[in-house]
Amino acid sequence: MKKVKIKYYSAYNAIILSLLGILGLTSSCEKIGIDPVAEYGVPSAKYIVNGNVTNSTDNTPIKNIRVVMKGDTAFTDNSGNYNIVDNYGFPGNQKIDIEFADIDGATNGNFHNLDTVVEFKNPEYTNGDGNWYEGETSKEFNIELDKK
Amino acid sequence: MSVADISIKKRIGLKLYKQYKKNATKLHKLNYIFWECTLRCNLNCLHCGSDCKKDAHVPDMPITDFIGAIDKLKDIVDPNNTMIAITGGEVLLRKDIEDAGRELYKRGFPWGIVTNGMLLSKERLNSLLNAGMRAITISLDGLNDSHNWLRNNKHSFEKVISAVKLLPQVENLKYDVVSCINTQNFDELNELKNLLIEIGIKEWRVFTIFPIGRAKVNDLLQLNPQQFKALFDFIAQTRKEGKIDMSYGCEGFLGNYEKEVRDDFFFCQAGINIASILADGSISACPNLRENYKQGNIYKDNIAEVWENKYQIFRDRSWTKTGICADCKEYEYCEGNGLHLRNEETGELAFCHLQRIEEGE
Repeated sequence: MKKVKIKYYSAYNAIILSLLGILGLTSSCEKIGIDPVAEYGVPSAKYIVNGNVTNSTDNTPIKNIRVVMKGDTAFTDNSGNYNIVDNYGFPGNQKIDIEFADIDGATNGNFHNLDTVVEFKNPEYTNGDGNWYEGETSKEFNIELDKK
Repeated sequence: MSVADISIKKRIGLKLYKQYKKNATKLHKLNYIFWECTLRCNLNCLHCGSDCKKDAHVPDMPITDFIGAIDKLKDIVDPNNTMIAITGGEVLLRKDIEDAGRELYKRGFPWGIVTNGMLLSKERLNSLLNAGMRAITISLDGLNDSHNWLRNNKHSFEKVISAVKLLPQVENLKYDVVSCINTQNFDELNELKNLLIEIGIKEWRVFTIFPIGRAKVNDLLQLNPQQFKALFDFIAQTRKEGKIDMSYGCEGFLGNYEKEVRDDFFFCQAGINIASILADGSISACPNLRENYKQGNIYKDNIAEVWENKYQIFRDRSWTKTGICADCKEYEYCEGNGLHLRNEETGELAFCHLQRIEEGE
């Protein structure tokens, strides 16, 4: 299936789950981030990445850079800061793909996109539930983008 | 509670969930894989055969063959979000399950086992945990006499209780107890619940037995309609009490009991999110979907291609709208019940949950 269709149906289902939540009919798929389980739940951990995106030439912050990591999307603020979360990662060492894209053309300057990887090595988790959910861990990940 | 009296809010929820299921079917994201690692078993349970036909003459699948099949899925699954459930036969009869587990763990797959608990010692549990096991399900089918009756072994209760008691001692292990409810343990539900709470078990899943295989000729295995309905009332009440997370298994549209006895609305995910690799290499959905439900074989086919291009019988269920389903007003939410309850050749449904609960009202 084409990526765009996958994104469409995934987003559609995320909206449905939100509506079910509003109705007080929350589904377990919402809690653990995958479709409802048949026999078991799945271990999970939350990975939080935050940082700053700057111009590699003069180190000035870049506003409105789109950051995509797994199912989450964020945009840098006026100071170039972003915060993005993978709610449903697997506990343990992780290499997570993260994309930085200039989507507003010349408005805040023209920059090359960057697809890279953020690595969590021996992560320490907090606030786990002692059951499936291991807890959360965070990492600062600062990025410089090259001007076109 | 009346099964047919579905509230407006729940109806809206069911409508929304119907669309959710349609979308999920289009996506058919594989995130749950059963591996039937052996057909050998150390028990001879009375109800066995109601779910599947066991043939102990099929040799155990070598681990390299299973892992080879899993590796073929690397382009279509996210390992971290794909559960591997190892089933049997009796899984713990295989001494090399840990080897398979370690290979799965290296690849980032969470994995777990379903066991009758007869061979689960503290040492074996530690060995499994050291191989990265994250989940375990143990079958307990009643108090001493009723469990031993169904399991056909006078020592099985004592052994399974020892095994169950090990579980709450392990941190970060997902575990639950499953029970097949029948006429012999029905009156013990409350005592069984209290026993599990006392042991420290947090999750309890129950199933009922249907008139397939041996269960067809043994009336003691099937609840009568009044008992069947009372079971759902018991589950709903237990969930309200909040002392143990009790739920009904994944089958059957349950009318107004939807969301009262399970976390989710009914959704048979076989072939939509769930695949299985059976002992002889057959590729199916849930392990109890055999015969014509098989979609290929890992020894002949690429499992990733099979998942992407086959499974039509699972993803278009219009063929199930026959017999009592043809005129059922709840068909849109049910879509023919769990496929393991339906003969894929004749379309005949072996059991309708909704009908049986109504009979019990």
